[in-house]
Amino acid sequence: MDIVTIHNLKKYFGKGACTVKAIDGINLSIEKGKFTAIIGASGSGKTTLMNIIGGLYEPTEGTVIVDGVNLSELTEEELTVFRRRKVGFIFQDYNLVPELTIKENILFPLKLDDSRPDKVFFEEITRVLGLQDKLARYPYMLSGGGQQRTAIARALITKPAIILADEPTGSFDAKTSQNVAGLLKMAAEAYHQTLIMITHNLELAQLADRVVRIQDGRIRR
Amino acid sequence: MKRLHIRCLPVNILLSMTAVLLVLAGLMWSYLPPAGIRILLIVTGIAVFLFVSLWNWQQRRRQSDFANDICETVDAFMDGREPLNNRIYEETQTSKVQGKLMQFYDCMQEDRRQSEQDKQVIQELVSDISHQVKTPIANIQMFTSILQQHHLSDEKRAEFLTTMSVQIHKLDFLMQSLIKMSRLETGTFSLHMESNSLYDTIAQAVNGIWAKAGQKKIQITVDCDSRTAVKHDAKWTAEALGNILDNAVKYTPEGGTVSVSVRPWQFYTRIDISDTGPGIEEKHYNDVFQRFYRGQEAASMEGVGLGLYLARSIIVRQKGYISVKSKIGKGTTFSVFLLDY
Repeated sequence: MDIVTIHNLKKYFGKGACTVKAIDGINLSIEKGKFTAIIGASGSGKTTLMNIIGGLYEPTEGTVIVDGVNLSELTEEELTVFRRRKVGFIFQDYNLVPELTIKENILFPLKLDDSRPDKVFFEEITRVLGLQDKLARYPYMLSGGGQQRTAIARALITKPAIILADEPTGSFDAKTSQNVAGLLKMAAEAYHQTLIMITHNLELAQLADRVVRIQDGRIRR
Repeated sequence: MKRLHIRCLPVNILLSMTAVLLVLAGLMWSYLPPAGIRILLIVTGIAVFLFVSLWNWQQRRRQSDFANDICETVDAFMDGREPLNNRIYEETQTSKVQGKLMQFYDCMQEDRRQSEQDKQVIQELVSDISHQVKTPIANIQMFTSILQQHHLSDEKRAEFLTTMSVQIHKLDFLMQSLIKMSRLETGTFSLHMESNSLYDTIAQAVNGIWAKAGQKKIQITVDCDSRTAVKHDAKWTAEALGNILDNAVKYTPEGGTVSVSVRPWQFYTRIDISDTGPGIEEKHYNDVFQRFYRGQEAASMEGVGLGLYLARSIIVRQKGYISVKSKIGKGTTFSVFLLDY
């Protein structure tokens, strides 16, 4: 079963002569529960594609259906709720809130949804990600790897159906990259989640069930 | 339910108190202050009463609407259809619970799909096994009947018996693999995850292939710190590594090398098993872990195509993973990642 279906997707930025065709006609289906790696050079449209799947950008043309819902049919408010409940984002620069402790950072998405955390689940993911004795610290006290693991925990805590990871290991050395990607893959498998990861690292892409190559806003066969 | 009661109680008390106050006011009408204030009091009392009753009624209606919406969602799932009142991405309580229910339903569906798929896999498995068993059995039957019916020279007799014993060995090998696999599949085996010396586990695995490697003059090197301790199940991990090593030795031509190296990482300990065999094409990286998969060039080798499948199952059960990297004509490296926490 497909969780994401993209049909004839186009996304242009700017108008007239300075139009940038970030995505220029993409058809793509992503199977539920699988790990898909999206690779391509910088500027090839990977991040734009991911942001459209996550409901952050509106497409110029084409349809994006995520878990049975056509994103263009949702209102702005509904899109906000969609992002909060369906999607877990992991960014290259972690995007942690510096004023909050690690624990508060992880639980932040639940707070937005006014939900109570599942204590057992919280303990489990912090243990698996090796964060249990760092919960009271602040992001700046952790290494890059530690901060990225916090970001992973934060993306997992709402048990989203899809995890979108944009170069989650971009700034790490090869060893830490494999570590983080391995943990991400394991977590996604354990909780039946669909993982879509942007990377330029071919070795990491090998962990994926499927690799999609993007070039100049199109899928390269 | 408890929370519901606590919320309703003050409203009821408030209502009764207002009612009692109103009755009291009526009874003690003549004792109350001047007419203007009397009427104001009564009117305010009635207004409060009405307002609270209305609010209470609305609250109850909202609760019952909520319950009905949820029941409708559950009904829909039971009937296997989409809920009529599907409002998944609304900022309401109903939508929130509906979303969760849907997620739960999806999980159940996924499990059901998985078990359907498993059923199919088992069917295929049975047919695969029958196929694998058929040839040796037919051979054994044929040779047995020849031995029974004909008077043969001792030489011929010995030759046939040797052929039979090879076939029996094949059956035994298949049987052993099946037993291991069935234990893995049915979950009847338990992992004893303890902090064991990885060196010992690797030594145990290497022991199993030493003789085979010796026959083919394959050199085996192990680069592992004897102090490296990782939380893993020693017996099953040795089995998994043994299968990968066995594979490596099987495909490495005479005089080649098989090397094992261990590198501790931040969360994982990486064990690389490299050979100088023919290599695996990139498009077959995933296939080699499939049950009964055998590469085209593997047709002449003995084996049933279960070794790597078993190895991966064992490692995954321990929350680790295996990856492959290969260069055609140069060799293959299997990397086993064991999680330590």
